[in-house]
Amino acid sequence: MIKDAFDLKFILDNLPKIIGALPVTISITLISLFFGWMLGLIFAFGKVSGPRWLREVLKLLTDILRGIPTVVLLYVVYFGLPQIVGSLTGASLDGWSKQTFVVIALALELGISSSEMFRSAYNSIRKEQIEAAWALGYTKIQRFLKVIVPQGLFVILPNLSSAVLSIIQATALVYTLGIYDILGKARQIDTNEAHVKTFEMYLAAALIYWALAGVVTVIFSQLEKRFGRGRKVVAA
Amino acid sequence: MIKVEGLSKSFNDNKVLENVDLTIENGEIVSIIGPSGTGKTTLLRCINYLERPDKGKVTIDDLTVDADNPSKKDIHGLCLRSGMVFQSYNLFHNKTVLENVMEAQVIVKKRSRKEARERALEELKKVGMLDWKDHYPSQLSGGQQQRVAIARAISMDPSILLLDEPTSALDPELTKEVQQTIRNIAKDGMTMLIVTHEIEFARELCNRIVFMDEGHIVEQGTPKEIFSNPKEERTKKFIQFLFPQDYQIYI
Repeated sequence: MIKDAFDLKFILDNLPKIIGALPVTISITLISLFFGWMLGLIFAFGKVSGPRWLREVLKLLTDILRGIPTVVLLYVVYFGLPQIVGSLTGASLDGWSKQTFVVIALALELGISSSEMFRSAYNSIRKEQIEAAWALGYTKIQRFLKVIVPQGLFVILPNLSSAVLSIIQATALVYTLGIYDILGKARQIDTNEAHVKTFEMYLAAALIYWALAGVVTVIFSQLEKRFGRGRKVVAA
Repeated sequence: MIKVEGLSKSFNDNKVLENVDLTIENGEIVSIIGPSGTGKTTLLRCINYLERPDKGKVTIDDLTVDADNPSKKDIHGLCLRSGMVFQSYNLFHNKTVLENVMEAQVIVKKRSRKEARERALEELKKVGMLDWKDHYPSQLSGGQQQRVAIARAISMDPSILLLDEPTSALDPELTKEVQQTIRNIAKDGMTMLIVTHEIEFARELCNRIVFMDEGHIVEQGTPKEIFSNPKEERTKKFIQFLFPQDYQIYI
């Protein structure tokens, strides 16, 4: 096998093919984020105001899942879940797509890590702000939507941003299950070329991930401006 | 009219309020004075259930709420009928002055944005904060923030305004400015219950002074009765403590 010189043309020729796999990466990311944050809110609620036993269970779950590498969790869910469900209920999960298992694993991990973030954001909101809303006659839901969410969101935006980035990066692991996301596609092209374009294809994948991260960063810096109102003193 | 009957509240084993009765007629301005830690603020906070009383009834206008079995709707009703001004102003720090005064009108009172805006501008004008309507609380002095907080509370048309040490976080100059605002509100006939350490202010503004000590109302009466001719021993001691020598001179 002879390694050729760096082949920029090969990258440019194949970039569209790899970008063609972008919807796979983005859809796994978005669905995992949605369910992960939902789960995170529920876990956070349990940690803040659940009964003692629930708080203990969630704490234990947090400690366990934090200690497991994402790729290991992915395999545990992919191979383990059908077995567990099968032996408990007799139901078969054969019909489930690989993406479903990926989303379950990523959402579980995100749910646990984001629950800590939501909890500290809630704790960061000053009691007086909530008391003011109470005295003005806000209902519980109005206090949540009008005071806690807007004020808490500003606190956690930097964390949300890095959570999105780490989920995007975690999706790169799905090629190990044979899903053709960005990395999977890049590797496939490299394989078809008898592995002589490995560097080129990984570089192409890196460029796409980097661009994706750039877009996420821009979106979140806009959001921070939007929710950071009143934080900075502007010259009168 | 607002009426508190048999109100008791403990924090852990510490009895903060014991069997307190108090009635305030419409248009009255009543001040609660007394040493620190005697439950003045707690009494105020029990009226809108910011602290949940252990026992007793709170009545505002047509609504009576019993601490034994208050429904969420009843507690909410107390908040709708009362307004509160806090020691630390508690403006929403992520909203401008105008938004602070508008928001509750829109989401609690269900006023249209246009109506809420007009009312907010009117109240801001009254407290002299109209020029600051687009500023954020962090850009204002404490006195200015408190004036906005007063405008916010008044814009909700409460039956009674509860003021919890409204000037105790302010320096003397800003204190004067906020006191002037409260005087203006008083002229409009607002019923008020004020917890304060500003004795001169209470004496000059209020119809009635309530002296509290150790969770009880010891004595109440007109400012003249309480300051010139207190009946109870504990009141006398407190007044003498406030005006050490010839305190009669001040009256």
